[in-house]
Amino acid sequence: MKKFALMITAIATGLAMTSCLDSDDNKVTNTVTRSYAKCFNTVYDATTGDIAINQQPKYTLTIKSTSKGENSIQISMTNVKLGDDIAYTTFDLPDLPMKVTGTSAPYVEATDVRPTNIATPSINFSSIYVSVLDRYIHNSSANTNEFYPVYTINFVVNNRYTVTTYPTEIQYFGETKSTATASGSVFTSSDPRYAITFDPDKKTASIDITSAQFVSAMPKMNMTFPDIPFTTGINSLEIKSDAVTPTIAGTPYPTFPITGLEATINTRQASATLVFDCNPMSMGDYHVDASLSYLLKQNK
Amino acid sequence: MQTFDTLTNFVTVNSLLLTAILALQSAPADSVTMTVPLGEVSVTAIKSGRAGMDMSPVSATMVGESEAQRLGIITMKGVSEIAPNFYIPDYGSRMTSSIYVRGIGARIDQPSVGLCVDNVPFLNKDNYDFDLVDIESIEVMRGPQSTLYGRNSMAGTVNVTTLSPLRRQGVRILAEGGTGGTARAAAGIYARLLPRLGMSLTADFHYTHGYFTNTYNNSRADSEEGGSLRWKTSWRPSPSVMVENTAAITMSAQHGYPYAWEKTGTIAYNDTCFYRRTGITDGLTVKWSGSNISVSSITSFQYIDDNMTLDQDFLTDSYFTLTQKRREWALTQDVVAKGTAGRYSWLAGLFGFYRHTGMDAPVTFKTDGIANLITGHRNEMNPVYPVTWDSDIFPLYSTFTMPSGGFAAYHRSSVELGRFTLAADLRLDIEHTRLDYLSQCHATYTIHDLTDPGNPTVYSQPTIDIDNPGSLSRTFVQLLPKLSLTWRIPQLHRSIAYASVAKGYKSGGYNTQMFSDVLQQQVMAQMGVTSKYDISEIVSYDPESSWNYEIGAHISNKSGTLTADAALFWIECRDQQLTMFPDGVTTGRIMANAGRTRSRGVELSARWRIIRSITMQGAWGYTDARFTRFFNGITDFSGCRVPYAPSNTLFAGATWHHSFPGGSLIDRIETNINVRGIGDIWWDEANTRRQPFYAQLGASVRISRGCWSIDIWGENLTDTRFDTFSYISIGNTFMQRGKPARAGITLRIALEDLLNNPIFN
Repeated sequence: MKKFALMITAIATGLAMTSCLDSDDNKVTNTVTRSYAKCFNTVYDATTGDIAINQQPKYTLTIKSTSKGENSIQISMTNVKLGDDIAYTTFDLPDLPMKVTGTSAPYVEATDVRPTNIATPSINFSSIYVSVLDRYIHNSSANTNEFYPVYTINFVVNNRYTVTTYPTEIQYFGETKSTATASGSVFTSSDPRYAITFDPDKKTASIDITSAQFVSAMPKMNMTFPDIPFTTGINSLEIKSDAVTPTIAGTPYPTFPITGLEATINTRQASATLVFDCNPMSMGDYHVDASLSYLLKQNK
Repeated sequence: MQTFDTLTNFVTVNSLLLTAILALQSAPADSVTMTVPLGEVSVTAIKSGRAGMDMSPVSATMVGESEAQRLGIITMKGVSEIAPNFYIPDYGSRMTSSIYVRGIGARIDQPSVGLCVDNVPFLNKDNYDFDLVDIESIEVMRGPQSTLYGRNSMAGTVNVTTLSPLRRQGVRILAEGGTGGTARAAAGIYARLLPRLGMSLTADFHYTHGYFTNTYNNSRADSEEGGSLRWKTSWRPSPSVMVENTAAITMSAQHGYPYAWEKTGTIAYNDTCFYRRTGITDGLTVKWSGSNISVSSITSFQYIDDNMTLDQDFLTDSYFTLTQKRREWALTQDVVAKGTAGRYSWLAGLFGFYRHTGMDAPVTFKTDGIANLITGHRNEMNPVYPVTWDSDIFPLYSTFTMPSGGFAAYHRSSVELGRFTLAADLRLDIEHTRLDYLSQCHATYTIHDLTDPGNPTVYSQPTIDIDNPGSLSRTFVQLLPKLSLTWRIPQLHRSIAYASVAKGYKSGGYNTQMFSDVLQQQVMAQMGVTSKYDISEIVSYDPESSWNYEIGAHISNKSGTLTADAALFWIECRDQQLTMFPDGVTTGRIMANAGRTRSRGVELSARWRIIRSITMQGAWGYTDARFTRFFNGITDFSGCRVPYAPSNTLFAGATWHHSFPGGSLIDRIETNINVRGIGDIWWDEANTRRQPFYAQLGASVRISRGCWSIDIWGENLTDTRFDTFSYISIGNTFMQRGKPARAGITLRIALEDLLNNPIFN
């Protein structure tokens, strides 16, 4: 398991990375191409109400930015399976203008977009939302800064299929609050880091917590909640288990029983919540509540 | 091989000198008797103003040859308490040279007080503690001397000068025996080979079986033997040129550490403890003096080869042992020019050094250490899947190479304005240090599955393979100013009052002792307990700096029978180098610049020759040193006293002598009685444990006749019980008791006197 000690930078996009430069008189265009394949889709069919999992889609994002402040993104997707009525699995979308609002990650939000590779007008992207968040996370054991971008991709096809893309591994930061059930005292820390790894085939998720500490007297530990079933919603995933035996360094730790675990992943909101109850080493019952996002509110 | 090469170089340099000397012997003898001014080639004289130390705006204490003999001073530790607010506790080994001056001191790494012996600036405080049998003077200067003496003289400087063969000739022999199975023998030949060329060769050997016993195996816990050889050459090829070279080899071997466990009050440990050291130094001083200008060059070479091995837990349990083997060599070069032009005098200098250290420092966890510090904690957290180590030992290896070098330029200007002298000093110090390291450990352990207690199985057998190669480097730049104002007091002979403000500086660097902590944290991380810190964060620390504000006076009556010194000081110390627990974590520690301290106090000393045969002296220092800011990640110690630095030092002594008429059985008798006091000393930052003030009584009687003298002496005659050091390790408190009452007899023979005795003429 990777160890994350500190997230040191975030924001800025492929605007800062250059793969080639074009020049048109006074305008310089930077183009960056990103490949996003470590992901899976949930596909909600509004007609049947079913939600299916589409594994191993691949997205190619070509981001252009010009010296005149014009930004656009061209999205190509392959292996995207929607429903029985749509045989196509490859969709090339035209250039769409990107926006930046405040400190948000650059994003595109558009409606009625027709793929350029499909002649029939029967395929229409009723709406699409894509954002690109570049961030670097410091790996303290290797003493390196590693690039962990986050891509948010949601779209609706033919006003019927709602597709939400989830990375197979997400890293979260945020505040973890532990409340002692008996006394009501609260222990708060922003040190724990959360990595959620999905197995869409088994429909399970593992939650890796680095620097987990739920009580001040508890040493910080790297803990894993393994193989927890998840269910799919239209725009979110829910990870839920009544009882989990965490592992530490691959070894089960029955002395840290976890109960009532619920996690909700909402990629559009770039956030997640995680709650559970624990009794670490019989130190007492604690209710743990973690509010997570892709970024730390302030760097340490 | 390296030691042999070093010895070869040492012999080669001095062979060249000897060749030059022999060549000179063929020249016609010069019948003029050369009188060499006392200490004119000493670094103090070279770097002091034209007024001399007693008229300089510096708090200084000088111990001369006869006083050193009277008080049995053979190391720098002997001056402790005699100089006010100057304290060197006697504990541990020869490697332990913790010096506290005015509340500022250092237990590890960089020293706070500089040491020069025959102008050789010792760069490593682990080499400070050695015996000298031919001391001419020891001078302790308190307060920052950084502008002239540079790095690591933030609290002061000690300058030791040995006898010059141009001032003393003959053969000197010493034989001593005392309690504690103490024996010492020394011999020195001081010869004036030519009117302007003198050479001396001194050797000494010492042994003690000590005063404390390791009750585990009934061995001596503080026994020691050692010796030294010193070859000094003093040459004045012309009236304006002085050359002095001192080459020395010292060796010592100590066979234990007398740390007692507070719980039992006894010394009892089962693993080997010793410290062995070989040190080689050579210092060459060349001084040219013109009418109003002089230029001096001080070149030195120093080499240390030592091995410290400890039962680190100091218990009969087998927790862990530590070894630190080191080879280090260093070169220094100081060039000082000074001159006067009417009322204006100046001094300018350039200093450079290079030091190279190679070190192996393995820490070995043994059965109890593995069980209690590694697997025990782990199994408390998970008794269903317990861990057992697959070996009885678990070594953590660390090897280091540390080259460092630096350069400095310094200047002093002073101008006399009537009775006032205004002086300004400035030094620019640049230093670069690098640490190349490899720390590693390899082990396997077994995780058992006891989910079915009646059928235990092996769950897994993980391996630990940690290899940390790396390199760190840092550069430090410091500007060190000093300003002083001196007023010559009218109607008093050689008396001044002064005020000064100076900046002091202690180098930053790397604390290699932390690497075992790094490895421990990484091992725990492999077992699932987070390792948060990277190596550079844990082992590196920044320079420490201080501002010293002082007013004082040196007073002397016209006849010189009464001299007195007084000083008031205030020191603000920043970025103090402290050990702390970072960010609320309760395991592991890092070296950090986390503290600010404030130290204020007073020093008084006086010497009064009441009548010709009676002299009294006294020295008292008081220091109130406290943290103004120190949060170690768990506790805030602001307002607490700085540990290990005493609040009071006290010395009082009286000497009486009587000379008998010619033809008597003895020529002279001299008695001395003295008291040394120290305390209170706090042992921890929270000031929960302390050593209260205590005093030790000493006395000596010397009978002399002709060329020989016999001293009968005693120290701590009241057998005062006290602790010189205390610390906590793995939850256990240890202390080292002070030495008990002891006595001895010393025979000295100076054959120059024998040759001049009428009996033989």
